[in-house]
Amino acid sequence: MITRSDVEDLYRRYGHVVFRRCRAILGREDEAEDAMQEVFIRALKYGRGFRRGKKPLPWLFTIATRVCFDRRRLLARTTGLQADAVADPPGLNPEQRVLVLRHLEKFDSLTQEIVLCYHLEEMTMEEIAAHVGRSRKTVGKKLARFKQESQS
Amino acid sequence: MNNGCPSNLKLSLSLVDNELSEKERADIESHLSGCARCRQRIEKLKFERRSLYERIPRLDLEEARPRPRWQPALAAACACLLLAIGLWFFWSGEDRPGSVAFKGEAPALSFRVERQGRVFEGRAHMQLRPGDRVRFAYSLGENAYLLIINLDGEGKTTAYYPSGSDESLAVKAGQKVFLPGSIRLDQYLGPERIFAVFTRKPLSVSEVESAVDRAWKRTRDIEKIETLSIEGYQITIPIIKVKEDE
Repeated sequence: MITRSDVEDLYRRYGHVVFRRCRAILGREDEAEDAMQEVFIRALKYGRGFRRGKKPLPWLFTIATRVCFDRRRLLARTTGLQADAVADPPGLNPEQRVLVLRHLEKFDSLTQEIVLCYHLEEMTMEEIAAHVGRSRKTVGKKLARFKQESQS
Repeated sequence: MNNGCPSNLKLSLSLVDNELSEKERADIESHLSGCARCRQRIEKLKFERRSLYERIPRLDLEEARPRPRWQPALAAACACLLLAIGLWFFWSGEDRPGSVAFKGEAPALSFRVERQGRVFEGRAHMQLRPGDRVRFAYSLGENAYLLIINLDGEGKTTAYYPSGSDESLAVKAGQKVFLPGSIRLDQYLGPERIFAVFTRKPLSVSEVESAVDRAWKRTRDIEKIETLSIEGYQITIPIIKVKEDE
């Protein structure tokens, strides 16, 4: 069971990393700050994915990605703007960001994590494999499938 | 895709205690010593991390709960306490460590940024771009002398105001008075810190440059320098310069 003090400690350690993830998906500092706080609130509320002794970052990233895609949809609905068009792209270059985010929403959370690590964090396939706890081959396959489907 | 450079995630995690192994940390240190791009990347990450924890030092995990009724009363009590502390500092004339007090409102410095025909208000921790034009304005309760100097993340100082003079120039009391001319930001990327010093007597530019240089050499970390060891009312504004596509 995750406690309030666990979440506070997670924020102190990983808040900046989660914030960067949110900003890359949302493209706006103010939205990213709100989203980041929501990530930790959800972590406290639904702490089932938290395992002591296990690296918590992939779990936090999964929540962050979900929170941010929810917000993108909401933003598009309430402002009438395409979420891609709302702000400067801080992580990816503009074309990559629009392309990646537009298609990524439809994929499963593992593919989302792998694609974001590859494009946003500039991680190698070996690093991504270690990060998500899957083989390099699986990472390669997921990336290839994403590339293929997003270009079709 | 990363040309042998550490990933953004790894660089970010290198800022967290005990997150990377000794070997990973040593590899990053060794890489940074030979890669200027990654030195800039990590400086930017450090700056962003510090800015975030300055803006949001603690999470509001109570967000979903309704606000208790006593909150307005507590806010009013805090406001009174802050006012009392402010007045105490004003009367004691020591509003900043080693600083000089001026009549009326405390001196203030603000700036406007012009980018490709658009003008917007500047603020601390703002992301600016090379080529942006910055114009400073001050607010001051009595006549004084002003000097503005910039320090970049590699320890290089640039006098922003006055330009082409050896000493700080006289400025008249007033509210949001714009200084003549503007500064075109250079190509350096990364965190920078702007210092403004208000004094009653002219101050030599070289004296302030030396103070900035001493402060820089003490920490070699631009984010840790808050005050300079010179007499005067000091204001410091951290900014960060990023490329256009960031």
